[in-house]
Amino acid sequence: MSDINNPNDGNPPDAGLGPPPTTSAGPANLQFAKIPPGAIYSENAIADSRFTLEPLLTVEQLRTRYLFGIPLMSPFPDPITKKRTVMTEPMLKDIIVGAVSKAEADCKLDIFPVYRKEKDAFDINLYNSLGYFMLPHRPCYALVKLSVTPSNEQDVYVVPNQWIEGAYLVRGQFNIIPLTVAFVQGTYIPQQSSGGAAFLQILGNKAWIPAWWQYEYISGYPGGSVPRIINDYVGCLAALEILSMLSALYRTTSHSLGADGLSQSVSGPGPNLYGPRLKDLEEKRVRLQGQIRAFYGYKIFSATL
Amino acid sequence: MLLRARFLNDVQGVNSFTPVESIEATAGSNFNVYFQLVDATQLPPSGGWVPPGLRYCPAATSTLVVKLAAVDQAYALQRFATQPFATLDASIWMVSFFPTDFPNGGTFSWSMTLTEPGPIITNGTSQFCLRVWPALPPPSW
Repeated sequence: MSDINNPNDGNPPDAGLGPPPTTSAGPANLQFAKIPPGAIYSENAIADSRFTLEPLLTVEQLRTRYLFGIPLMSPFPDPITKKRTVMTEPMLKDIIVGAVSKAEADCKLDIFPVYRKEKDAFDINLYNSLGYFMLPHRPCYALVKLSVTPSNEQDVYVVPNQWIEGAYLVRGQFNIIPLTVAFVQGTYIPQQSSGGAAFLQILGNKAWIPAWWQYEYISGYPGGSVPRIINDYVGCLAALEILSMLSALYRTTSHSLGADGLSQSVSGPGPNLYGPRLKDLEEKRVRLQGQIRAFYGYKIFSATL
Repeated sequence: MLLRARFLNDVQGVNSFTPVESIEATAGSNFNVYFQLVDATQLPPSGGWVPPGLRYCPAATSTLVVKLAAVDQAYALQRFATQPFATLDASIWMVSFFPTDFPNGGTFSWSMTLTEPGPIITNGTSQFCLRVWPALPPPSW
């Protein structure tokens, strides 16, 4: 049985699966972490016949996929250098880096891996639903540690990873299902008749305790290999930014020249030069955002029957 | 000084290379990453300099450590860089990567620590500088 007065209780060495992960500021050791049953993308795939992941969008891909045929330069020369200002590769890369941050904020997901330590309230209703947890940052690709950690930041109890169900980790959900044996300090915790269940009985007296649970997890795509749809979204954002900057440089909508009896006039779209392309990209961005958010469970539909 | 790396492709010598924004490779391969140390505070892009930054040649016997930014130990990597043309151009450095370094591919940023005699320590970063294409379909770990 676990003893909540013993801060080491519930911290195995775990006879069957080795020692538990420990809290650290450095890179996480995922050897004993709970991971989803399959890949982050395609969700829970255990084998795939195509390459669904790629590195982050390159400058060259941004040009060919989203800016085909568009001259990335100012329409008039810089008054100091007397040359047309060109949108250089470092500038384009900087815009891509910015688009990644915006994409993360828009879609409420982590694209590049982030190791997080967060706290969550104890809620008797969620606890009675087999310890239902919903992580605030997704997709989760490894739950490193779940513990009861009060405000002194000392772990009172570490939930054995064997009791954590990670089937829905990609969408941020996990549960505590203490229906199987777990090893703690070299001995069995048989099932819910003792061990963690006995320890957790004390929680029955409280309906809600703030910041009771603490979990450490990694959200994002492993290694920064992202699905094409994410690159598409980042590309849309970057292209919108670039075309917006370029459009603003086309200031005149018409000009005319007259000499004696001859005259010529030319009119053009001016700042609306890339208006249709911007509109298309914005529509595509909104559609992609909806698809991505639905994929990771951020869209809730309700209906009355 | 604002230490940055200018990445180089097709390096034949100190007079023959192509500056690029990032290095691309395929997972499970041997590859060398060449880069030139630059001081980003000099020759800035706002002045029309392409590529921006003035090359920086550290003092002899300097060392340079490159560390990949990683949150999980499977991707954590730290390596000493070498100077392939130490006598001709001390600003050019090289890091070798091996098939086991990136088994699954990904996009990586790195930090650099340049230690010059003194010691004078200068840190620098490069965002999303290494793009490794996966060699196998997912799952990727």
